[in-house]
Amino acid sequence: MTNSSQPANVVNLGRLRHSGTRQAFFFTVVLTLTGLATWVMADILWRGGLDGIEIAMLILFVPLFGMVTLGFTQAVFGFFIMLRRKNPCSISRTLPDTLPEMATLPATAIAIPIYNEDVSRVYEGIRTIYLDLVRTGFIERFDIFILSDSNNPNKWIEEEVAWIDLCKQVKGFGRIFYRKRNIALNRKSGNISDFLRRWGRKYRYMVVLDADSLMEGNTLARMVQMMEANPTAGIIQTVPSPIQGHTFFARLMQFSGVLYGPVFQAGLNYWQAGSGNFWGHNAIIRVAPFIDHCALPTLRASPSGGQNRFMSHDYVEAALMRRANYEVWMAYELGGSYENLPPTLVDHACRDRRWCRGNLQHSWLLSAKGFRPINRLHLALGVLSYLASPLWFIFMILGTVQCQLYWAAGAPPRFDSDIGLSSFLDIGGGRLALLLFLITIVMLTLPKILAVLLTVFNRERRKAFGGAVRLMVGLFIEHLFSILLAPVQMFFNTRFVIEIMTGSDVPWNPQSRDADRNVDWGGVIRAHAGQTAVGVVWAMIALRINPAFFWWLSPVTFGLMGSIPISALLSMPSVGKRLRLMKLLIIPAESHPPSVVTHLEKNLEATHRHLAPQEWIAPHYGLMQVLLDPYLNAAHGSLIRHRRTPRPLNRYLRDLTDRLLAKGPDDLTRREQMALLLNAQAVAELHERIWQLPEAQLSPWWKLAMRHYNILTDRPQTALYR
Amino acid sequence: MAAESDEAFEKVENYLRACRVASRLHRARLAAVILQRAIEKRNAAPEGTPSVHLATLAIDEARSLITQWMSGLLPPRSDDRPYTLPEGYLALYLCDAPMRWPNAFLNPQLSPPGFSETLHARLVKTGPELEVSSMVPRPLDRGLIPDLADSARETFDRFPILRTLFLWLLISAGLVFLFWYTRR
Repeated sequence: MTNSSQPANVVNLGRLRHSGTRQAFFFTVVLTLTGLATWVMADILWRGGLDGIEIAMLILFVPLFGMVTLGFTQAVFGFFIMLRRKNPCSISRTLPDTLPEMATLPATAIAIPIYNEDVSRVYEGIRTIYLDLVRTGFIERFDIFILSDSNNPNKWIEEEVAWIDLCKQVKGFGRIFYRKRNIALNRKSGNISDFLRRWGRKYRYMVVLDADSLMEGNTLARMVQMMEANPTAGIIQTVPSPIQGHTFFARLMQFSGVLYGPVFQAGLNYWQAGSGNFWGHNAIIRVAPFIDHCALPTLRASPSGGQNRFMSHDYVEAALMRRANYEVWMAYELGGSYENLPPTLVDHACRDRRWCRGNLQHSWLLSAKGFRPINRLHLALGVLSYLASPLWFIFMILGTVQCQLYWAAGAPPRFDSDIGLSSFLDIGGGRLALLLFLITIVMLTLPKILAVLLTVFNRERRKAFGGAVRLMVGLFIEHLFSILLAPVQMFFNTRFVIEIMTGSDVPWNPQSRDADRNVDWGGVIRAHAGQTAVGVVWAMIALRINPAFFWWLSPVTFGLMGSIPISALLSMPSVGKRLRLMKLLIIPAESHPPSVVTHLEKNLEATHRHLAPQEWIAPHYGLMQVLLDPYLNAAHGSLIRHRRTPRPLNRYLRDLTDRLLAKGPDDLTRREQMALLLNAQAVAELHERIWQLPEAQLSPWWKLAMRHYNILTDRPQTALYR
Repeated sequence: MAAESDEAFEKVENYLRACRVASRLHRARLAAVILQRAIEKRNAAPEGTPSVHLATLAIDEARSLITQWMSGLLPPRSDDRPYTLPEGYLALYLCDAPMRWPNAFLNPQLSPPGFSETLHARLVKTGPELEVSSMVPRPLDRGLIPDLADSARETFDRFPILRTLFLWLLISAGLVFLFWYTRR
């Protein structure tokens, strides 16, 4: 397969880019396994005919088991690919082993859209990436853009100050840019589109990062090199490795992600090849076709006359890129790409709520003209990944009703009759049901076992997970909690699907990335109270039907009944820290941390050691800084749009400024504060008037603020100096 | 008068602290000079001029002194336009002047080596020069089913009574099914 002009180890993917045969083979296996299991299920239910409930259960069984089979097949295929060590169909293999020459790389933008994020984490991440690019010598080819849509005045000012400080510290002016949109139109995808409209043509490629992304300099250079080597590639998605899991929950998630992820990714790459998906971050994009083909249309007009926009843009952008004949690859073997995970189960559910709505929206695009079948499949799997929860819930309810009917009629009669498969295999109906249950368990657990086998027999990887014994203990803990959490997540997703289908709005909340806070018991109880109640009632009904059925249902009911203490336990950073000290649930990024992760953690630790603003001042700290501090006032004024000739403030802004001075910031809403901060004239005038006015004409808040400003520190308390 | 002077002194001192003049002695000395100039200015004002609070005068005086001082430090512009106070502050801020030369603030006699050179103001830009592109969504034909669903939704939105009737129909169908199912 190698081309004569290429180094010997470089593979020309050629026909492998188009994965028709592999897709046919893969999905034949999935279909066959699902078909066989459905046959067994039908045989169990079909004893003396199917009644309404049984028909419904059989129909629900097909997509539910299909999802299990898909994951299982993917992992088994991935396992065999990984045994071969070199995957013939990997985009990473189109590169030589050597890093590119800096001069050969085209200009690339690193775009980081942010929205009311933890500024310390964002900027320390950027600092780490920037310094690693400097260390590796590739910085000349990369520009970093911080694209803010923050609507919290505090966060906005903190971002501005942190940007200037960072640029001063790393000499990054002209290389690191900050842009704040006045109107956050179309959320994240609108933010990126705005960037592309302004500066897109300057760059051949764009790397999109999330607020909590982290990438190594070499990885960024390799991604550009990969794009250059594959002119038909439109998007190359890396697989970010989870890091910085401090709570028990985050540690569980990162352990399972890093341990089991590779087999699933290898299997996924096997069937999708150049028709992969985009996950919205830690990916490189060819800018020109993205501008030409990937602007997102309106989903549909909303009843209120507004426009309904995509909440989850990435899958659609991948489909649009494929429609324009550009490939979308997953570079799963490329390391050096990291991200943070939600610290708690409740935070994870909040994120899922957003994703759920985004994915359900995609159901409108399943029949969109021009989309490739594989992209329709990606969209359908996304929809099904959330729809599976209510389907499973209904399946379980129907099963409970059916059991009640069976036992009410005097023992489970139909299971006893030896017909169909039972007579052919010479086992009773009850045993056949047990067999199907065991097959399901095997299909759910075998992927984990395969992933562990690959790790145990690889000395380096085994050591990176803390050794064989710790790995096994970790596997046991993870497996136990995954069983307990499955019904909780089912319940969450069922609720989200119902809320979305009945038209409840999903607010665009920033993801919580703060792992060091204490357990929010109120939040935990509110989130899980309904689940606990359902679990208790369900368990009582099951016990009343039959004790055997109670135990049969216990993995579901126990998880629901214990959801409050389980969620609280998983949210505790102290438990996570203890586990880390015991080297349990440890991952390679902790046992052998890459330099970027070490730098990031060290810097974050330093920023968190500094003083936090006093409680009374904290809610309006940003506003206070920008109006009191002459330097920050000047800097903020230079960053927002000016009129060439200043005009007097309009009546609305004049009224706001008067209220702010006379009554203090508490009298203004966040929106009003933003209106003032977006007007350079108002900001300059307010600064001048606050200092000029005698105390009698100012609110007590300003008097106190002036007396306290810069008392404890001789520099503003920003993310970097906090 | 004493209370007004005290308030003005405190205000100027607070302002200088906001300018990150960290040394108390330097701050007090500057505040005294500024206050003295403000008092002199007020005394020199022609009779009949409306009285202005001393704190206001003192802050104005401080700002005008700082503008003069900075203009002396910054290189002249090609078009001879004077520097504004915010431009001066930005220049000081970008070169970390208050940290690097703590005693040089508002002190024309003290000009440490490199101070003036480093003050070359940089324009704080939010990005490189614009290169505007057109990024326009292409029409997306979603196919027949979503379009039908949309028109049904629009009809329901236009006639809410239809939505309610449809809901009642669903509930009735469910009840009929249950009735049939339990009597088979």
